[in-house]
Amino acid sequence: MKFSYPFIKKLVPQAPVKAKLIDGLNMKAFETEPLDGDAFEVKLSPNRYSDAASHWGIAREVAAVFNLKIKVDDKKVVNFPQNKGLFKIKVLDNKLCPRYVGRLFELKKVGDSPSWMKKLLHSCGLRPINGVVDIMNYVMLETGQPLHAFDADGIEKGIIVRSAKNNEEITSLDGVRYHLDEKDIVIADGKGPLAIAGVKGGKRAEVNKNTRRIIVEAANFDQVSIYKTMKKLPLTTDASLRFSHGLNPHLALTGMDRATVLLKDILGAKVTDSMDVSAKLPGKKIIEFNVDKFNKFIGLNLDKKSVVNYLKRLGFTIQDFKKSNSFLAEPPVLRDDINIFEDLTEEVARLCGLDELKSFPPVVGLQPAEIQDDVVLKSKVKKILVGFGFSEVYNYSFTGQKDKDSSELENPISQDKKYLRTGLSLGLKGNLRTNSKDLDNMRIFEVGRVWRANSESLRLGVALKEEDALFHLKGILSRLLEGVGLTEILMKPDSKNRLLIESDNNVLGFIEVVHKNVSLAEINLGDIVLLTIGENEYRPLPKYPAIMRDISIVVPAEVRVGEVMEAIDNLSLKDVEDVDLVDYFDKFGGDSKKKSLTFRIVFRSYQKTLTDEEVEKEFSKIGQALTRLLKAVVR
Amino acid sequence: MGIASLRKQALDEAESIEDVKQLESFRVKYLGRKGELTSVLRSLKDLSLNERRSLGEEANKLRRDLEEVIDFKHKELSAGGKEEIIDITRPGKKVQVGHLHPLTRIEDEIKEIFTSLNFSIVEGPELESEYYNFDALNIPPAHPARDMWDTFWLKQPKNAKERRLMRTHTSPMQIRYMETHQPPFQIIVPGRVFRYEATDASHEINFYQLEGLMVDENISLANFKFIIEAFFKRLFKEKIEFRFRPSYFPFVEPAVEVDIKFTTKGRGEWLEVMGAGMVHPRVFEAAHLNPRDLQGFAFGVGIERLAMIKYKIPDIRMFYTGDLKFINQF
Repeated sequence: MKFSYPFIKKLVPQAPVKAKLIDGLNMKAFETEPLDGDAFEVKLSPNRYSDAASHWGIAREVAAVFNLKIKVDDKKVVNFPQNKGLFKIKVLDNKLCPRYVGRLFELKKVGDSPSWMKKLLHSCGLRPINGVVDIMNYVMLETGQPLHAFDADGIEKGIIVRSAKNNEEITSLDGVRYHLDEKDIVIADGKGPLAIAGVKGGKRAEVNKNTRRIIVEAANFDQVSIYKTMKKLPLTTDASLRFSHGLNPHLALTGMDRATVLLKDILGAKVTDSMDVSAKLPGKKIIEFNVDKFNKFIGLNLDKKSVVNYLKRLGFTIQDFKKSNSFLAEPPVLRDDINIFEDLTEEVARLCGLDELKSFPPVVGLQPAEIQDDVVLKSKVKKILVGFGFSEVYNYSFTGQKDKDSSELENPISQDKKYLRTGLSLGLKGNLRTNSKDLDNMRIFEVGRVWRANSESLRLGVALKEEDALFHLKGILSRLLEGVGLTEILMKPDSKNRLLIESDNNVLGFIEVVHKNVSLAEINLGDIVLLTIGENEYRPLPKYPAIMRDISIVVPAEVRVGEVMEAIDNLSLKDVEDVDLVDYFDKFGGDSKKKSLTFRIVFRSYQKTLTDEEVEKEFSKIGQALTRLLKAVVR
Repeated sequence: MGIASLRKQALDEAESIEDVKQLESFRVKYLGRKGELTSVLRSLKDLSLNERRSLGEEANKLRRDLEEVIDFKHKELSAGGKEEIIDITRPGKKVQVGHLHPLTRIEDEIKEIFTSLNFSIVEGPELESEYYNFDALNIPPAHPARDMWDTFWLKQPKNAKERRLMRTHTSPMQIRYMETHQPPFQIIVPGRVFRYEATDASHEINFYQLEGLMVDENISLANFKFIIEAFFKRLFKEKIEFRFRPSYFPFVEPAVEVDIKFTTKGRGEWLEVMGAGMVHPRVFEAAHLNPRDLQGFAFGVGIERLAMIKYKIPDIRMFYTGDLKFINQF
């Protein structure tokens, strides 16, 4: 929100130069930045619009921060005609409109506002219109209360504050037509809406240069309702901005009194009647402040006197001074943000200066720190993969591609980021593609969350582009899973180009051949956490030597290595430690229907040194079985 | 000569063998027909059964060891490696190495610092309910305060009880953690968060945040200052000045903003790095804890922002391009 430095200076005559004032506000009140010329910008907290969205409010902060005197013209107007029946105000729902103060004025002419007022309006980003409208806007900038003036002679049968009807229309002051519904509040008369309450005035009953009688409105509207209307239309105005944050109903009268003074002083206007339609106004709030509790909470060591002093600077009323180290504090009437003890601690701490706070090591009972299992797993996996030459990428969680389990965003930022990703493959393929202009071979991975059928899981995605990508990938995954504590892993063909990774009958993920030199895999890390909670355990080192036997076979081309290995596995041979594929040739002897495979079988016993006869007896079963089952020819 | 000294002599000698010829004469010297060990073995037959047994075992072991040494040396020396001339000035082979993403690197570093300060590490869901992301954190519905967090909402399945969203901060984990644990709490929560906003050099639609929470009976704002100063000093390993300013977040009271300034390198401007404050009593209540006995601080910091400062990265969007030219610098 924009503020004028000269105006603040007028309200707080001893205020420091602009730069110093901005620093002070920054460090003790609100984030504040200089603007060109006389103005500065304050980023008000959303809970401070009631008291601080005005020059008076900021002047009060400045006075408190620098401990200076403030001078505002907020005297009450007394002795004016009330409830004479010259005009009517009817509020249908006082929840939607807790207060409506209306005053009827007679004036000789609408005229112009004085140049000092125009100047202030300008520097706060408002356009001068005419004497009446400018005073309305000026009073809002001064007090924070939005005001509106109607041409009293354009209103039929008095003012009604009510919910809009569905499809009710209104044309605003600047000529835009809005369609309203029953969730909006309108200021209406017998004929229809005159204004969108708290948001914008309408064309009808607009003050013009011939206007001689005006009704000035200073009202209070339900914050939620104004917020919703403002978002729906959408229409953010100086008024809706303030009302949507919530204003105190007491402010309405303050604004009206100030407007009354200015209308009289500048335009010679005279109050001829007035009404104040109000629900019960908010009462006093009294909050206990315990100085010891404060010092323990913030970590300062202030005495009661200085605490009281800080609160007084902010306009708090202090009572019950006799209690040893606590007292009662009553916040200024507009401070809707102050409700509990902790709110008071903020006031004292900031005014004392958060920078005054000395850092102090916490004193606590020692509890061993823990790291969540999947966090540990994640970093283990990353370290292993980096060791294998993989680089880590981060992709967006959103994608333009939908599959049957996709969740969709209600408000996507763009069409290519409309769905939550259901896997990491798509992103990784994209990374391989965009990097391929720089690199021929790549190994990349990502760890991230994906969403399927509304459930979230933590995934690892691995992709590589190199010769024999699939076989490297399979080898790497075996090592990786072993490295995180999984030993029994199966990679089972699922379709022509896809394998499922299984352990203990759980599907952990899949491997996909994208094309000859590109493969990728995805693994559900959440499942692995559940499977690897056990600890590593020592196994005796082998005492007896291993004996190796190679077998070379020629099989029909369609026979897969997996089938051969499964056939060997199914024989349940005695003392077999390992079976490895050590050689692989397509087109055996130039025949594309045949391929040649060589397996190395490692035999070892933990009881004794195996003899050649013992090994030979088991080994010979392999050749027989493969010949029988897979039409293999042993070479 | 006893077996023990023969053993020492032979093994020492083996060390200095440099070619196959020497190796052969070594073999002849000890294991040849007239070799020193051979003669010891031969003399065994003249000894008593007891002597034969102990000496024989030792002598045979030495024979096996020497055979192994000779075998090994033979392989080593006959490979021809020694004769071939190697140009030792040739550059080393390029080894392909992988790189952690800079965000992982900095997150690891952050986690290490906080675990050394005895903070536990937990993570939480990125797809959240409106309750945990807003209501429980004292952020009222239909209040402009909520506009501080521009939100991605999920399309609702029919009959859904509650609106779901992509979490806009890691703070929901304050509630989730406190609901299921007993104080004292001392945790950090790193994780991805989402904001519906136009992207530019300092804004992304998804980014990483680190939440911190420390609660006990006496944890004060001064304690926060200590922890956070220790953290930043260790992370940046530079002299840092700190500035604490008042701020506003509905789930803390008082709320503060932390600025830092590097004083060593003359990078002399204040950088806004962190929002924090004392946990609001309503937040304790939302997690079914009694605020009367508890006090503590919470903070939130953007991880990209720290990485950008630490590694001097100019644009937040670089983190999500998957460009290996960028990633492989780290």
